[in-house]
Amino acid sequence: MIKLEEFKKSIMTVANVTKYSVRMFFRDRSAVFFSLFVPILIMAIFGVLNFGGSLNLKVGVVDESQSTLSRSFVDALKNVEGFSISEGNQETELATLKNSDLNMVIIIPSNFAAALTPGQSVIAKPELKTYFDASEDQTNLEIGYTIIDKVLDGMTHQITQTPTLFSVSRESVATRDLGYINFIIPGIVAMSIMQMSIFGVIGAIVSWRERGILRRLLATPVRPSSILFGQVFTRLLISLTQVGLLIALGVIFFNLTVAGSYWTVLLLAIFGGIIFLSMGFAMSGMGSQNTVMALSNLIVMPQMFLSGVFFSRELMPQWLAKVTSYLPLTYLADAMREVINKGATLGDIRTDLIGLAVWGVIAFGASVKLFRWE
Amino acid sequence: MKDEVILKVENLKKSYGKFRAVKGVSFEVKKGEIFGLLGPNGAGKTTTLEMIEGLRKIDSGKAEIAGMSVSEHTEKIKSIIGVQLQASSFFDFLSLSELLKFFGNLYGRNVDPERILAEVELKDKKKVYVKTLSGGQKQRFSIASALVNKPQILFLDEPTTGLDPQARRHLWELIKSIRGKGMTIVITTHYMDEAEYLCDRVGVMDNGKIISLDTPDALINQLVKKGFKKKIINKGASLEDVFLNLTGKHLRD
Repeated sequence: MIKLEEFKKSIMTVANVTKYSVRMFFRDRSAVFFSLFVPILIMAIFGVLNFGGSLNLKVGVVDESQSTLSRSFVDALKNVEGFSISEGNQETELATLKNSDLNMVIIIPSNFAAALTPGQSVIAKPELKTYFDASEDQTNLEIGYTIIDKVLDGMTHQITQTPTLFSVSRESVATRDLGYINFIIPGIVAMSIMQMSIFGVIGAIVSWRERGILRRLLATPVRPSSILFGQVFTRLLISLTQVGLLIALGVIFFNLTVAGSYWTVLLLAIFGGIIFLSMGFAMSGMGSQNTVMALSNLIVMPQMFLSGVFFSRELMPQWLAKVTSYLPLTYLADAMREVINKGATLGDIRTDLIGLAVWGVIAFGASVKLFRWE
Repeated sequence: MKDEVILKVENLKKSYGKFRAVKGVSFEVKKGEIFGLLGPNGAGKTTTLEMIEGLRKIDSGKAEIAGMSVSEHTEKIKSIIGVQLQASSFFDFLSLSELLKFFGNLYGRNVDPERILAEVELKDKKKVYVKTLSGGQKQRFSIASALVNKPQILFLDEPTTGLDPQARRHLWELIKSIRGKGMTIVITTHYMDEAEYLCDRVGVMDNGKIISLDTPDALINQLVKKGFKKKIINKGASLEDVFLNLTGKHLRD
């Protein structure tokens, strides 16, 4: 019974510490700006500028087949985000291409539907003729051709009755706009969790310690663990608020589609948060304000650029890609991307979760060893 | 009731590595008295106080408050004492009344911030942040925060260090008025005028030991009996008198 009373009291204290800490955070304008607003700003900048560009190809289609099959092909093309399709006859479409008002013209041959006739397809394989504007950005054209290939592939699989599952996934790759912003938002979400947790804890604990606030708190009957748990809950709450904000703004303004479950995103955010919080607690014990700030930047900054937040780690030299694959932020960013972009479940991202858990054990051990009140 | 001992310290010791900060301190404080620990910087006053407050581990010896051992019942002790620490500050973004509620909660109490702030004459500042307060106001608030749990004994560690003469005198009156309500107060200081004005009894500390302990008058008499003669400076007033006469006794908060 006494134990229960004690427990209740501890919960009340943690709730009290959390309530006032959250209030303090939102009143501290510079903290709100740097930790809450800056990630949103970064997202907005990347979203508006759209580095890496989302595809915008103007494609003229000349349908000489006018069959069910050719119509479904044209419809599929119309569904591709980043393609604007216009139709006409060969003469007008090619003229428009020459005026640079089109980037590409596809001519569907009259024997297009012959592919449907069994056996015929091998002999008289219908050939799509394409014309393109050579002055157009080559990468855009490449992507355009890749997408057309995939649409055709998808149709082939449907016609030849290969398992639908395969062809469906092909379709989704071709029609979903996997633009840069989609790549970058999950990364920014992960990055903001790291920053909020590490800098938040350090900012509070180190300054409270140096200014004697922790001592003052410890002069009351409060359990030291209540203060720590209060910090954990405060930072997690703020972190989750931010994750929610980033995703909501992404969905509203940048066409972000959250393919996976929001619960998985939430769980992942909490899990990642706890790990980076432990790192924050560990670092907060490693010296004075200046030392700890320098140290935390040393740990946070490289991860921002090496963990595939802003650009894919596949672009790195192989050895660097290998090394950076073990970074905690890499695990969290990859997992977030898998869940948000590709709808992964917890089971699908288990490798990342294990990686994070290993870091969690290391960080927790370090914080137990290094954390100090004075 | 009158001579009831509320704080009992016996042969308290504390070392940091090879440095022996407190080398066996013993004294008793009676209920309702203002007890002063005097001594130069580094004498061990703060360390002694912090051991009694349960903030530092006691190496050896014993401290008892209201009959309870500090090292055995640290949490219980902390809930019945009030502590004003030297050089401690408060959160930046909570108002005075929020801070008092917060501290009250740490003791599991619902407090009335206005009542406590009125006690230290800060009622009109209830909505401001601590950082906007003057030095004297900060110290008064610090005392207010030590009163939220209606403590049986109040520890003040160099409360007037760094204050101007007006604020210092004002704080003395505040401390006297708190004692007037029945509170026991233990105060450290290195200002002798302060100790002489405020304390019923004082312990003089140096090098981690109490080297003399009595009422201020008795200590003065002992010295005089030894044949001590103060160089008579019969100026009729001190420079502080001049200062206060020129600038007035009212507070400059």
